[in-house]
Amino acid sequence: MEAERMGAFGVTAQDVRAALQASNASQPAGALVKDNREVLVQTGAHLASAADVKQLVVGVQNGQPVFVTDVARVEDGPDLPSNHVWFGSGAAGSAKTPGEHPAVTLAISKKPGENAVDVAEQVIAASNR
Amino acid sequence: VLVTPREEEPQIDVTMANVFIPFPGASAKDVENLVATPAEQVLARIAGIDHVYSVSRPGMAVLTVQYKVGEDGTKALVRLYDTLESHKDWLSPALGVGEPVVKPKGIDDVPIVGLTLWTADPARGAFELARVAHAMEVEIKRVPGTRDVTTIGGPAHVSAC
Repeated sequence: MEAERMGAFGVTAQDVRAALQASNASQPAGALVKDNREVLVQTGAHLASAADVKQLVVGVQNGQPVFVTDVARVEDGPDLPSNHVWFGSGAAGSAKTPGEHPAVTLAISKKPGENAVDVAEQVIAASNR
Repeated sequence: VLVTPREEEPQIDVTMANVFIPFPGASAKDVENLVATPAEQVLARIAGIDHVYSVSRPGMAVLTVQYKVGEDGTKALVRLYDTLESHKDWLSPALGVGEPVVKPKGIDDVPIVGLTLWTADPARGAFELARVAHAMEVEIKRVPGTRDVTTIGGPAHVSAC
């Protein structure tokens, strides 16, 4: 959010918060029966992308709506990661891919009483599929 | 060959649990004085406990309850829940301390398989790999006997403004 632009448009951080909360809600509104068919009706929709967020109205100034994009920069993409995984090979490793590379690790645990070897083998088989 | 299903030899119970007590807006010092230290005293009354540790950070106290090796896991957790439940009135509700969340940790929370996805393609990073990993999670969870399938590393997808 950009404080100067918010000040110019007379929009507070609370207005933005309220607009986001009110728009990111959906609830069932009953069913519509027609031609022997039932259609479930829902009101509202959840915010799905940055484009949805940008066009929210957070206030009115001089009879003109103020959009989120007027007072804030909206970006869609990766969050700041809280943990990192790197994969690298040493001198004895493959020469084709030297250095360190970004990676992610899937950690799989098993239920109590299960045979660890059997579960592990099935997991590896499933991941190779 | 007769196969006996067992995890360790001999089979032992190693039970511990983390108790998270939220205190929104409080400093680490306040959390320590008002929540963590009194909670340590409350939890230390439980039978069969080896150690109680606490970590205070702004807005949250984390207590670790470690039982003696060999204590039955389910019974130990019942005693923990019972103690927390019967001491709900230990602080004034007006203080703003939230409900504790108990996360038991045992030998079955330790991963048995780790699969690392990596790429040498400079155009792709941990974010793309994480999306592939999340898709794989669903497939791997279908394998009977798996408990938790989690992805380590890789940022989440957000819209920020």
